[in-house]
Amino acid sequence: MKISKKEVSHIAGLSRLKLNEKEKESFAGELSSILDYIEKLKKIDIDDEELIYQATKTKNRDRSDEVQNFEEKDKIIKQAPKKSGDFIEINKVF
Amino acid sequence: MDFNGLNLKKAHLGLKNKEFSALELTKYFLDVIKNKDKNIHAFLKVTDDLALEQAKLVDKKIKEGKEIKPLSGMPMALKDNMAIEGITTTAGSRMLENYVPPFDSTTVKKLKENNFVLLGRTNLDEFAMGSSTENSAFGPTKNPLDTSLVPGGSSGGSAAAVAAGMSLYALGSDTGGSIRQPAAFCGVVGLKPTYGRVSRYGLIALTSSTDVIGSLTKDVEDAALILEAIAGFDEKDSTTINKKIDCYSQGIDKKSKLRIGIPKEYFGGELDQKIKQALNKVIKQVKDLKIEVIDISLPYTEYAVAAYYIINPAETSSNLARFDGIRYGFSDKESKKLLETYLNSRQKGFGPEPKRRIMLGTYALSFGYYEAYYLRAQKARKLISDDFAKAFEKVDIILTPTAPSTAFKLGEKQTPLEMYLSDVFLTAPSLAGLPALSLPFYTSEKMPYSVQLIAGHFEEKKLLNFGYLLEKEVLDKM
Repeated sequence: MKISKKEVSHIAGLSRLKLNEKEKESFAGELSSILDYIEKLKKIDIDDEELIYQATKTKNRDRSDEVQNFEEKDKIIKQAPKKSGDFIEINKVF
Repeated sequence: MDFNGLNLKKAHLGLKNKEFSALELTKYFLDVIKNKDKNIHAFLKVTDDLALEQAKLVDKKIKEGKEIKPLSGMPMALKDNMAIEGITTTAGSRMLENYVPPFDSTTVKKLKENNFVLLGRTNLDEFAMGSSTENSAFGPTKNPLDTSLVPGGSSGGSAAAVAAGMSLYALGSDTGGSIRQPAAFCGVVGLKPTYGRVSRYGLIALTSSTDVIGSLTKDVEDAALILEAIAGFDEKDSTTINKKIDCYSQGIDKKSKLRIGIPKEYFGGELDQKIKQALNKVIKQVKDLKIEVIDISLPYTEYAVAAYYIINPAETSSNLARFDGIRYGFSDKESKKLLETYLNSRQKGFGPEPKRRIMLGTYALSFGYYEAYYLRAQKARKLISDDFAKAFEKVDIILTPTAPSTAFKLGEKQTPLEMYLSDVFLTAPSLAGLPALSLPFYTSEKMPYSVQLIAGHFEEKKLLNFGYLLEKEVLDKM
Protein backbone atom coordinates (compact mmCIF):
# COMPACT_ATOMS: atom_id res chain seq x y z
CA MET A 1 0.00 0.00 0.00
CA LYS A 2 1.66 3.18 -1.15
CA ILE A 3 0.71 6.37 0.67
CA SER A 4 1.51 9.55 -1.24
CA LYS A 5 2.61 12.85 0.26
CA LYS A 6 -0.72 14.28 -0.86
CA GLU A 7 -2.61 11.64 1.13
CA VAL A 8 -0.38 12.33 4.12
CA SER A 9 -1.33 16.02 3.94
CA HIS A 10 -5.01 15.10 3.74
CA ILE A 11 -4.86 12.78 6.78
CA ALA A 12 -2.83 15.36 8.70
CA GLY A 13 -5.59 17.88 8.04
CA LEU A 14 -8.25 15.49 9.33
CA SER A 15 -6.08 14.87 12.40
CA ARG A 16 -5.52 18.58 13.05
CA LEU A 17 -1.79 18.05 12.80
CA LYS A 18 0.51 20.47 11.06
CA LEU A 19 3.43 18.67 9.45
CA ASN A 20 6.52 20.13 7.82
CA GLU A 21 7.78 18.85 4.46
CA LYS A 22 10.34 16.55 6.06
CA GLU A 23 7.69 14.97 8.28
CA LYS A 24 5.36 14.48 5.31
CA GLU A 25 8.14 12.78 3.41
CA SER A 26 9.09 10.40 6.20
CA PHE A 27 5.49 9.61 7.18
CA ALA A 28 4.64 8.72 3.57
CA GLY A 29 7.41 6.09 3.59
CA GLU A 30 6.82 4.81 7.12
CA LEU A 31 3.04 4.55 6.86
CA SER A 32 3.42 2.71 3.55
CA SER A 33 5.71 0.09 5.04
CA ILE A 34 3.54 -0.34 8.16
CA LEU A 35 0.43 -0.79 5.98
CA ASP A 36 2.32 -3.29 3.82
CA TYR A 37 2.86 -5.38 6.91
CA ILE A 38 -0.79 -5.00 7.93
CA GLU A 39 -1.90 -6.26 4.51
CA LYS A 40 -1.44 -9.76 5.94
CA LEU A 41 -4.83 -9.37 7.64
CA LYS A 42 -6.37 -9.74 4.19
CA LYS A 43 -5.22 -13.36 4.04
CA ILE A 44 -7.78 -14.62 6.52
CA ASP A 45 -11.35 -15.33 5.62
CA ILE A 46 -13.22 -13.43 8.22
CA ASP A 47 -16.42 -12.45 6.46
CA ASP A 48 -18.79 -14.30 8.75
CA GLU A 49 -17.07 -13.72 12.02
CA GLU A 50 -18.78 -11.59 14.59
CA LEU A 51 -16.81 -8.68 16.04
CA ILE A 52 -15.34 -8.17 19.46
CA TYR A 53 -14.97 -4.70 20.88
CA GLN A 54 -14.61 -5.55 24.53
CA ALA A 55 -12.29 -8.34 25.55
CA THR A 56 -14.01 -9.43 28.74
CA LYS A 57 -17.43 -9.20 27.07
CA THR A 58 -18.89 -6.74 29.55
CA LYS A 59 -22.06 -4.95 28.54
CA ASN A 60 -22.69 -1.23 28.77
CA ARG A 61 -23.10 -0.24 32.35
CA ASP A 62 -25.26 2.80 32.99
CA ARG A 63 -25.37 5.01 36.01
CA SER A 64 -27.74 7.80 36.79
CA ASP A 65 -26.66 11.15 35.43
CA GLU A 66 -26.49 13.10 38.66
CA VAL A 67 -24.69 16.35 39.29
CA GLN A 68 -21.86 15.97 41.77
CA ASN A 69 -19.98 18.78 43.39
CA PHE A 70 -16.33 19.09 42.45
CA GLU A 71 -14.49 21.34 44.87
CA GLU A 72 -11.36 21.77 42.81
CA LYS A 73 -12.82 23.92 40.05
CA ASP A 74 -10.04 26.50 40.33
CA LYS A 75 -7.37 23.87 39.85
CA ILE A 76 -8.96 22.86 36.56
CA ILE A 77 -9.29 26.38 35.24
CA LYS A 78 -5.73 27.14 36.33
CA GLN A 79 -4.48 24.58 33.77
CA ALA A 80 -5.87 26.54 30.84
CA PRO A 81 -3.33 28.65 28.94
CA LYS A 82 -5.73 31.60 28.46
CA LYS A 83 -8.49 32.50 30.83
CA SER A 84 -10.63 35.34 31.94
CA GLY A 85 -12.07 35.00 35.43
CA ASP A 86 -13.83 31.66 35.64
CA PHE A 87 -13.86 31.27 31.85
CA ILE A 88 -11.40 29.60 29.51
CA GLU A 89 -10.59 31.90 26.60
CA ILE A 90 -9.99 30.80 23.02
CA ASN A 91 -8.68 32.58 19.97
CA LYS A 92 -11.03 33.93 17.32
CA VAL A 93 -12.58 31.31 15.08
CA PHE A 94 -12.45 33.46 11.91
CA MET B 1 21.67 -0.77 56.72
CA ASP B 2 21.49 -2.42 53.30
CA PHE B 3 17.92 -2.98 52.23
CA ASN B 4 18.75 -4.30 48.78
CA GLY B 5 17.72 -7.89 49.50
CA LEU B 6 14.27 -6.96 50.75
CA ASN B 7 11.01 -7.81 49.10
CA LEU B 8 7.66 -6.42 50.24
CA LYS B 9 6.95 -9.21 52.69
CA LYS B 10 10.33 -8.94 54.42
CA ALA B 11 10.18 -5.14 54.48
CA HIS B 12 6.69 -5.23 55.99
CA LEU B 13 7.83 -7.63 58.72
CA GLY B 14 10.85 -5.45 59.37
CA LEU B 15 8.61 -2.44 59.97
CA LYS B 16 6.17 -4.39 62.12
CA ASN B 17 8.93 -5.88 64.25
CA LYS B 18 10.58 -2.45 64.53
CA GLU B 19 13.87 -3.69 63.05
CA PHE B 20 13.96 -0.45 61.05
CA SER B 21 11.66 2.50 60.42
CA ALA B 22 9.81 3.55 57.28
CA LEU B 23 11.91 6.71 57.34
CA GLU B 24 15.17 4.72 57.28
CA LEU B 25 13.85 2.58 54.46
CA THR B 26 12.78 5.62 52.44
CA LYS B 27 16.05 7.47 53.01
CA TYR B 28 17.94 4.39 51.84
CA PHE B 29 16.10 4.29 48.50
CA LEU B 30 16.39 8.07 48.01
CA ASP B 31 20.16 7.68 48.48
CA VAL B 32 20.36 4.87 45.93
CA ILE B 33 18.42 7.02 43.45
CA LYS B 34 20.82 9.90 44.07
CA ASN B 35 23.85 7.68 43.42
CA LYS B 36 22.60 5.65 40.51
CA ASP B 37 19.97 7.49 38.54
CA LYS B 38 22.26 9.98 36.81
CA ASN B 39 23.54 7.06 34.72
CA ILE B 40 20.17 5.40 34.20
CA HIS B 41 17.52 8.15 34.05
CA ALA B 42 14.67 6.00 35.30
CA PHE B 43 13.07 8.93 37.13
CA LEU B 44 11.56 12.06 35.60
CA LYS B 45 10.94 13.48 39.05
CA VAL B 46 12.01 12.45 42.55
CA THR B 47 9.49 13.42 45.22
CA ASP B 48 11.86 13.39 48.24
CA ASP B 49 9.92 15.71 50.52
CA LEU B 50 6.63 13.92 49.99
CA ALA B 51 8.29 10.51 50.46
CA LEU B 52 9.84 11.52 53.78
CA GLU B 53 6.56 12.99 54.98
CA GLN B 54 4.61 9.84 54.00
CA ALA B 55 7.21 7.62 55.71
CA LYS B 56 7.01 9.61 58.96
CA LEU B 57 3.25 9.16 58.97
CA VAL B 58 3.65 5.38 58.80
CA ASP B 59 6.24 5.42 61.59
CA LYS B 60 3.79 7.39 63.73
CA LYS B 61 1.11 4.79 63.11
CA ILE B 62 3.47 1.98 64.10
CA LYS B 63 4.53 3.86 67.23
CA GLU B 64 0.89 4.29 68.20
CA GLY B 65 0.42 0.55 67.86
CA LYS B 66 -1.94 0.83 64.88
CA GLU B 67 -2.24 -1.92 62.25
CA ILE B 68 -0.36 -1.25 59.02
CA LYS B 69 -1.15 -2.76 55.61
CA PRO B 70 1.32 -4.74 53.44
CA LEU B 71 2.09 -1.67 51.27
CA SER B 72 2.26 0.83 54.17
CA GLY B 73 5.61 2.58 54.24
CA MET B 74 6.85 0.71 51.18
CA PRO B 75 8.82 3.06 48.88
CA MET B 76 7.68 2.80 45.28
CA ALA B 77 7.98 4.41 41.85
CA LEU B 78 5.00 5.39 39.70
CA LYS B 79 4.97 5.52 35.91
CA ASP B 80 4.42 9.11 34.86
CA ASN B 81 1.06 8.46 33.19
CA MET B 82 -1.10 7.98 36.28
CA ALA B 83 -2.62 11.14 37.72
CA ILE B 84 -1.72 12.19 41.23
CA GLU B 85 -3.16 15.38 42.60
CA GLY B 86 -0.73 18.28 42.76
CA ILE B 87 2.24 16.50 41.14
CA THR B 88 3.11 16.93 37.47
CA THR B 89 2.09 13.97 35.34
CA THR B 90 3.77 14.29 31.95
CA ALA B 91 3.13 10.99 30.12
CA GLY B 92 6.67 11.52 28.79
CA SER B 93 5.39 14.24 26.47
CA ARG B 94 6.08 17.95 25.94
CA MET B 95 2.32 18.19 25.59
CA LEU B 96 1.89 17.56 29.34
CA GLU B 97 5.25 18.84 30.57
CA ASN B 98 3.58 21.26 33.00
CA TYR B 99 0.31 19.42 33.62
CA VAL B 100 -0.63 19.21 37.30
CA PRO B 101 -3.64 16.91 37.77
CA PRO B 102 -6.40 18.30 40.01
CA PHE B 103 -7.38 14.74 41.01
CA ASP B 104 -6.00 11.32 41.95
CA SER B 105 -6.27 8.32 39.67
CA THR B 106 -8.16 5.47 41.38
CA THR B 107 -4.92 3.49 41.69
CA VAL B 108 -3.19 6.37 43.47
CA LYS B 109 -6.23 6.79 45.71
CA LYS B 110 -5.94 3.14 46.69
CA LEU B 111 -2.19 3.47 47.28
CA LYS B 112 -2.85 6.48 49.52
CA GLU B 113 -5.35 4.44 51.52
CA ASN B 114 -2.52 1.94 51.98
CA ASN B 115 -0.14 4.70 53.21
CA PHE B 116 2.29 4.17 50.35
CA VAL B 117 5.54 6.09 49.95
CA LEU B 118 6.09 7.74 46.56
CA LEU B 119 9.78 8.03 45.64
CA GLY B 120 9.10 9.58 42.25
CA ARG B 121 7.68 9.43 38.75
CA THR B 122 9.26 7.14 36.19
CA ASN B 123 10.15 7.66 32.55
CA LEU B 124 8.17 6.16 29.66
CA ASP B 125 7.84 6.29 25.90
CA GLU B 126 5.71 9.30 25.01
CA PHE B 127 2.09 8.52 25.92
CA ALA B 128 3.27 4.93 26.52
CA MET B 129 3.91 4.40 22.80
CA GLY B 130 7.02 2.35 22.36
CA SER B 131 9.08 -0.66 23.36
CA SER B 132 12.36 0.94 24.44
CA THR B 133 11.64 4.20 26.36
CA GLU B 134 13.60 5.96 23.59
CA ASN B 135 10.40 7.78 22.57
CA SER B 136 10.30 9.80 25.80
CA ALA B 137 10.39 13.55 25.14
CA PHE B 138 12.74 13.82 28.13
CA GLY B 139 15.46 11.45 26.95
CA PRO B 140 15.79 7.66 27.11
CA THR B 141 16.20 5.45 30.17
CA LYS B 142 19.13 3.03 30.13
CA ASN B 143 19.13 -0.60 31.13
CA PRO B 144 20.73 -0.86 34.59
CA LEU B 145 22.22 -4.26 33.70
CA ASP B 146 24.11 -2.73 30.76
CA THR B 147 23.74 0.99 30.04
CA SER B 148 24.41 0.57 26.31
CA LEU B 149 21.08 -1.30 26.09
CA VAL B 150 17.46 -0.17 26.28
CA PRO B 151 15.39 -1.09 29.34
CA GLY B 152 12.41 -1.96 27.13
CA GLY B 153 9.21 0.00 27.16
CA SER B 154 7.00 1.70 27.56
CA SER B 155 7.31 1.21 31.36
CA GLY B 156 11.13 1.27 31.01
CA GLY B 157 11.65 3.73 33.87
CA SER B 158 9.62 1.59 36.27
CA ALA B 159 11.45 -1.62 35.29
CA ALA B 160 14.86 0.07 35.52
CA ALA B 161 14.03 1.58 38.93
CA VAL B 162 13.27 -1.85 40.41
CA ALA B 163 16.14 -3.62 38.62
CA ALA B 164 18.68 -1.04 39.82
CA GLY B 165 17.47 -1.36 43.42
CA MET B 166 16.24 2.26 43.38
CA SER B 167 12.72 1.25 44.39
CA LEU B 168 11.13 -1.66 46.23
CA TYR B 169 8.48 -1.97 43.54
CA ALA B 170 6.95 0.09 40.74
CA LEU B 171 3.68 0.43 38.90
CA GLY B 172 3.45 0.56 35.15
CA SER B 173 0.79 0.22 32.49
CA ASP B 174 0.54 -2.43 29.80
CA THR B 175 -1.33 -1.86 26.55
CA GLY B 176 0.45 -4.27 24.19
CA GLY B 177 3.37 -5.43 26.35
CA SER B 178 4.51 -2.28 28.14
CA ILE B 179 4.99 -3.97 31.52
CA ARG B 180 6.00 -7.46 30.41
CA GLN B 181 8.67 -6.50 27.86
CA PRO B 182 10.65 -4.06 30.08
CA ALA B 183 10.34 -6.56 32.96
CA ALA B 184 11.95 -9.16 30.67
CA PHE B 185 14.71 -6.79 29.49
CA CYS B 186 15.61 -5.64 33.02
CA GLY B 187 15.24 -8.99 34.82
CA VAL B 188 12.25 -8.22 37.06
CA VAL B 189 8.76 -9.69 37.43
CA GLY B 190 6.01 -7.96 35.43
CA LEU B 191 2.29 -8.54 35.92
CA LYS B 192 -0.38 -7.39 33.47
CA PRO B 193 -3.74 -8.14 35.10
CA THR B 194 -6.95 -9.00 33.23
CA TYR B 195 -8.43 -6.03 31.36
CA GLY B 196 -10.91 -4.46 33.78
CA ARG B 197 -9.37 -5.93 36.95
CA VAL B 198 -7.67 -2.61 37.84
CA SER B 199 -9.37 0.73 37.25
CA ARG B 200 -8.09 2.91 34.41
CA TYR B 201 -9.57 6.07 35.90
CA GLY B 202 -6.80 8.68 35.89
CA LEU B 203 -4.49 6.62 33.67
CA ILE B 204 -3.69 8.73 30.62
CA ALA B 205 -5.40 6.79 27.85
CA LEU B 206 -3.46 5.14 25.03
CA THR B 207 -5.66 2.29 23.78
CA SER B 208 -8.71 2.27 26.02
CA SER B 209 -9.74 -1.27 25.02
CA THR B 210 -6.44 -2.85 26.15
CA ASP B 211 -4.86 -0.47 28.73
CA VAL B 212 -4.24 -2.06 32.15
CA ILE B 213 -2.27 -0.94 35.21
CA GLY B 214 0.05 -3.53 36.75
CA SER B 215 3.25 -4.03 38.69
CA LEU B 216 7.01 -4.47 38.30
CA THR B 217 8.47 -6.30 41.26
CA LYS B 218 11.35 -8.39 42.53
CA ASP B 219 9.28 -11.54 42.84
CA VAL B 220 5.89 -13.13 42.23
CA GLU B 221 4.66 -12.84 45.80
CA ASP B 222 5.18 -9.05 45.69
CA ALA B 223 3.08 -8.92 42.52
CA ALA B 224 0.28 -10.74 44.38
CA LEU B 225 0.38 -8.33 47.32
CA ILE B 226 0.21 -5.30 45.03
CA LEU B 227 -2.66 -6.66 42.97
CA GLU B 228 -4.66 -7.22 46.16
CA ALA B 229 -4.25 -3.51 46.92
CA ILE B 230 -5.01 -2.03 43.48
CA ALA B 231 -7.60 -4.41 41.97
CA GLY B 232 -11.32 -3.87 42.09
CA PHE B 233 -14.52 -2.42 40.77
CA ASP B 234 -14.63 1.32 40.16
CA GLU B 235 -17.72 3.28 39.35
CA LYS B 236 -15.52 5.71 37.43
CA ASP B 237 -14.31 3.03 34.99
CA SER B 238 -17.25 1.29 33.35
CA THR B 239 -15.01 -1.54 32.12
CA THR B 240 -14.01 -2.66 35.61
CA ILE B 241 -15.81 -5.77 36.77
CA ASN B 242 -17.73 -6.15 39.99
CA LYS B 243 -16.14 -9.44 40.88
CA LYS B 244 -14.60 -10.58 44.14
CA ILE B 245 -10.91 -9.77 44.50
CA ASP B 246 -9.14 -13.02 45.27
CA CYS B 247 -6.66 -13.07 48.11
CA TYR B 248 -3.81 -13.62 45.66
CA SER B 249 -0.97 -13.94 48.17
CA GLN B 250 -2.73 -16.40 50.46
CA GLY B 251 -1.78 -19.97 49.64
CA ILE B 252 0.43 -18.80 46.77
CA ASP B 253 2.92 -21.52 47.73
CA LYS B 254 0.29 -24.26 47.62
CA LYS B 255 0.98 -26.84 44.93
CA SER B 256 -2.14 -27.23 42.80
CA LYS B 257 -2.78 -29.50 39.87
CA LEU B 258 -2.41 -27.36 36.74
CA ARG B 259 -2.05 -28.20 33.06
CA ILE B 260 0.45 -26.12 31.11
CA GLY B 261 0.04 -25.43 27.38
CA ILE B 262 2.94 -24.78 25.00
CA PRO B 263 1.76 -23.06 21.78
CA LYS B 264 3.96 -23.96 18.82
CA GLU B 265 3.37 -20.56 17.16
CA TYR B 266 5.42 -18.86 19.89
CA PHE B 267 8.55 -20.92 19.24
CA GLY B 268 9.05 -20.15 15.54
CA GLY B 269 11.72 -18.45 13.48
CA GLU B 270 11.56 -15.01 15.10
CA LEU B 271 12.67 -16.42 18.46
CA ASP B 272 16.39 -16.24 19.23
CA GLN B 273 17.82 -19.79 19.20
CA LYS B 274 19.55 -19.47 22.56
CA ILE B 275 16.31 -18.30 24.21
CA LYS B 276 14.51 -21.21 22.59
CA GLN B 277 16.99 -23.70 24.01
CA ALA B 278 16.77 -22.14 27.47
CA LEU B 279 12.97 -22.26 27.37
CA ASN B 280 13.01 -25.89 26.31
CA LYS B 281 15.10 -26.56 29.39
CA VAL B 282 12.52 -24.72 31.52
CA ILE B 283 9.72 -26.79 29.99
CA LYS B 284 11.62 -30.01 30.67
CA GLN B 285 12.07 -29.07 34.31
CA VAL B 286 8.36 -28.28 34.60
CA LYS B 287 7.66 -31.81 33.34
CA ASP B 288 10.14 -33.17 35.88
CA LEU B 289 7.96 -31.65 38.59
CA LYS B 290 5.23 -34.03 37.43
CA ILE B 291 3.20 -31.18 35.95
CA GLU B 292 1.20 -32.02 32.86
CA VAL B 293 2.55 -30.18 29.79
CA ILE B 294 0.45 -30.19 26.63
CA ASP B 295 1.38 -29.02 23.12
CA ILE B 296 -1.27 -26.65 21.79
CA SER B 297 -1.85 -24.40 18.79
CA LEU B 298 -3.01 -20.78 18.60
CA PRO B 299 -3.30 -20.52 14.80
CA TYR B 300 -4.23 -16.83 14.56
CA THR B 301 -1.16 -15.65 16.50
CA GLU B 302 0.57 -14.42 13.35
CA TYR B 303 -2.11 -11.73 12.86
CA ALA B 304 -1.82 -10.29 16.37
CA VAL B 305 0.77 -7.58 15.70
CA ALA B 306 -0.99 -6.44 12.51
CA ALA B 307 -4.37 -6.25 14.24
CA TYR B 308 -2.86 -4.51 17.25
CA TYR B 309 -1.15 -1.84 15.14
CA ILE B 310 -4.50 -0.91 13.61
CA ILE B 311 -6.56 -0.99 16.81
CA ASN B 312 -3.96 0.84 18.87
CA PRO B 313 -3.47 3.78 16.45
CA ALA B 314 -7.24 3.97 15.82
CA GLU B 315 -7.98 4.40 19.51
CA THR B 316 -4.91 6.60 19.96
CA SER B 317 -6.03 9.02 17.27
CA SER B 318 -9.32 9.39 19.08
CA ASN B 319 -7.83 9.57 22.60
CA LEU B 320 -5.24 12.20 21.65
CA ALA B 321 -7.84 14.43 19.98
CA ARG B 322 -8.46 16.03 23.38
CA PHE B 323 -5.04 17.72 23.30
CA ASP B 324 -6.00 20.91 21.53
CA GLY B 325 -4.05 23.62 23.36
CA ILE B 326 -7.21 25.05 24.93
CA ARG B 327 -8.05 23.52 28.29
CA TYR B 328 -4.74 22.11 29.47
CA GLY B 329 -1.39 20.96 28.17
CA PHE B 330 0.93 22.68 25.73
CA SER B 331 -0.50 25.64 23.85
CA ASP B 332 1.18 27.60 21.09
CA LYS B 333 1.20 31.21 22.23
CA GLU B 334 1.90 32.69 18.77
CA SER B 335 -1.30 31.42 17.18
CA LYS B 336 -3.94 34.05 16.44
CA LYS B 337 -6.85 31.95 15.19
CA LEU B 338 -8.51 28.90 16.77
CA LEU B 339 -7.52 26.48 14.02
CA GLU B 340 -3.91 27.68 14.21
CA THR B 341 -3.97 26.99 17.96
CA TYR B 342 -4.98 23.39 17.29
CA LEU B 343 -2.52 22.81 14.46
CA ASN B 344 0.49 24.50 16.03
CA SER B 345 -0.04 23.19 19.56
CA ARG B 346 -0.31 19.63 18.28
CA GLN B 347 2.66 20.04 15.96
CA LYS B 348 4.93 21.32 18.73
CA GLY B 349 3.47 19.33 21.64
CA PHE B 350 3.57 15.81 20.16
CA GLY B 351 6.74 13.92 19.29
CA PRO B 352 7.14 11.70 16.19
CA GLU B 353 5.55 8.49 17.52
CA PRO B 354 2.23 10.01 18.70
CA LYS B 355 2.03 11.86 15.38
CA ARG B 356 2.70 8.65 13.46
CA ARG B 357 -0.01 6.77 15.35
CA ILE B 358 -2.52 9.61 15.04
CA MET B 359 -1.90 9.56 11.29
CA LEU B 360 -2.13 5.78 11.00
CA GLY B 361 -5.27 5.65 13.14
CA THR B 362 -7.02 8.47 11.31
CA TYR B 363 -6.20 6.79 8.01
CA ALA B 364 -7.50 3.39 9.17
CA LEU B 365 -10.75 4.92 10.42
CA SER B 366 -11.35 7.24 7.49
CA PHE B 367 -13.93 6.84 4.79
CA GLY B 368 -13.17 3.99 2.40
CA TYR B 369 -10.56 2.39 4.65
CA TYR B 370 -12.59 1.52 7.73
CA GLU B 371 -13.65 -1.89 6.38
CA ALA B 372 -10.26 -2.73 4.96
CA TYR B 373 -8.41 -2.05 8.18
CA TYR B 374 -10.29 -1.38 11.41
CA LEU B 375 -13.11 -3.83 10.84
CA ARG B 376 -10.66 -6.52 9.74
CA ALA B 377 -8.47 -5.91 12.77
CA GLN B 378 -11.48 -6.26 15.06
CA LYS B 379 -12.43 -9.49 13.32
CA ALA B 380 -8.90 -10.79 13.75
CA ARG B 381 -9.15 -9.84 17.40
CA LYS B 382 -12.18 -12.08 17.77
CA LEU B 383 -10.36 -15.00 16.16
CA ILE B 384 -7.33 -14.49 18.40
CA SER B 385 -9.59 -14.40 21.48
CA ASP B 386 -11.35 -17.58 20.34
CA ASP B 387 -7.96 -19.30 19.94
CA PHE B 388 -7.23 -18.63 23.60
CA ALA B 389 -10.74 -19.60 24.75
CA LYS B 390 -10.38 -22.97 23.01
CA ALA B 391 -6.92 -23.52 24.47
CA PHE B 392 -8.15 -22.80 27.99
CA GLU B 393 -10.61 -25.68 27.69
CA LYS B 394 -7.58 -27.98 27.70
CA VAL B 395 -4.99 -26.12 29.79
CA ASP B 396 -4.88 -23.74 32.77
CA ILE B 397 -1.79 -21.74 31.90
CA ILE B 398 -0.04 -21.04 28.59
CA LEU B 399 3.76 -20.76 28.67
CA THR B 400 5.63 -18.73 26.01
CA PRO B 401 8.72 -16.54 25.65
CA THR B 402 8.14 -12.88 26.58
CA ALA B 403 10.34 -11.34 23.90
CA PRO B 404 12.07 -12.73 20.79
CA SER B 405 15.45 -11.36 21.94
CA THR B 406 17.14 -9.95 25.02
CA ALA B 407 17.43 -6.16 25.43
CA PHE B 408 18.65 -4.48 22.24
CA LYS B 409 21.04 -1.55 21.91
CA LEU B 410 19.93 2.07 22.25
CA GLY B 411 19.30 3.34 18.72
CA GLU B 412 19.40 -0.17 17.23
CA LYS B 413 15.81 -0.38 15.97
CA GLN B 414 15.79 2.10 13.13
CA THR B 415 12.25 1.85 11.72
CA PRO B 416 8.92 2.00 13.54
CA LEU B 417 7.95 -1.41 12.13
CA GLU B 418 11.09 -3.06 13.57
CA MET B 419 10.12 -1.67 16.96
CA TYR B 420 6.50 -2.85 16.64
CA LEU B 421 7.67 -6.39 15.83
CA SER B 422 9.49 -6.66 19.16
CA ASP B 423 5.97 -6.98 20.67
CA VAL B 424 5.32 -10.18 18.70
CA PHE B 425 4.55 -12.40 21.74
CA LEU B 426 2.81 -9.71 23.76
CA THR B 427 -0.02 -8.22 21.74
CA ALA B 428 -2.24 -11.31 21.48
CA PRO B 429 -2.93 -11.56 25.25
CA SER B 430 -3.57 -7.79 25.26
CA LEU B 431 -6.10 -7.99 22.43
CA ALA B 432 -7.84 -10.85 24.26
CA GLY B 433 -7.72 -8.97 27.61
CA LEU B 434 -5.98 -11.87 29.38
CA PRO B 435 -3.76 -11.65 32.46
CA ALA B 436 -0.09 -12.40 31.83
CA LEU B 437 3.03 -12.61 33.94
CA SER B 438 6.61 -12.11 32.78
CA LEU B 439 9.26 -13.95 34.81
CA PRO B 440 13.03 -13.50 34.35
CA PHE B 441 15.72 -16.14 34.62
CA TYR B 442 19.45 -16.24 34.13
CA THR B 443 21.68 -18.66 32.26
CA SER B 444 25.41 -18.28 31.69
CA GLU B 445 24.63 -15.24 29.48
CA LYS B 446 24.91 -11.74 30.92
CA MET B 447 21.37 -10.60 30.10
CA PRO B 448 18.31 -12.33 31.54
CA TYR B 449 15.80 -14.38 29.54
CA SER B 450 12.13 -14.39 30.32
CA VAL B 451 9.06 -16.62 30.39
CA GLN B 452 5.56 -15.31 29.79
CA LEU B 453 2.65 -17.08 31.49
CA ILE B 454 -0.89 -16.39 30.27
CA ALA B 455 -4.12 -17.38 32.04
CA GLY B 456 -7.86 -17.08 31.41
CA HIS B 457 -9.85 -13.94 32.28
CA PHE B 458 -9.70 -13.16 36.02
CA GLU B 459 -7.54 -16.23 36.71
CA GLU B 460 -4.77 -14.21 38.36
CA LYS B 461 -4.87 -16.49 41.38
CA LYS B 462 -3.92 -19.51 39.24
CA LEU B 463 -1.41 -17.43 37.28
CA LEU B 464 0.41 -16.20 40.38
CA ASN B 465 0.21 -19.60 42.01
CA PHE B 466 1.97 -21.29 39.09
CA GLY B 467 4.29 -18.29 38.66
CA TYR B 468 5.42 -18.71 42.25
CA LEU B 469 6.12 -22.40 41.77
CA LEU B 470 7.99 -21.82 38.50
CA GLU B 471 10.05 -19.05 40.07
CA LYS B 472 11.04 -21.04 43.16
CA GLU B 473 11.36 -24.57 41.75
CA VAL B 474 12.70 -23.90 38.26
CA LEU B 475 13.82 -20.38 37.33
CA ASP B 476 15.73 -19.51 40.51
CA LYS B 477 17.64 -22.78 40.16
CA MET B 478 18.66 -22.32 36.49
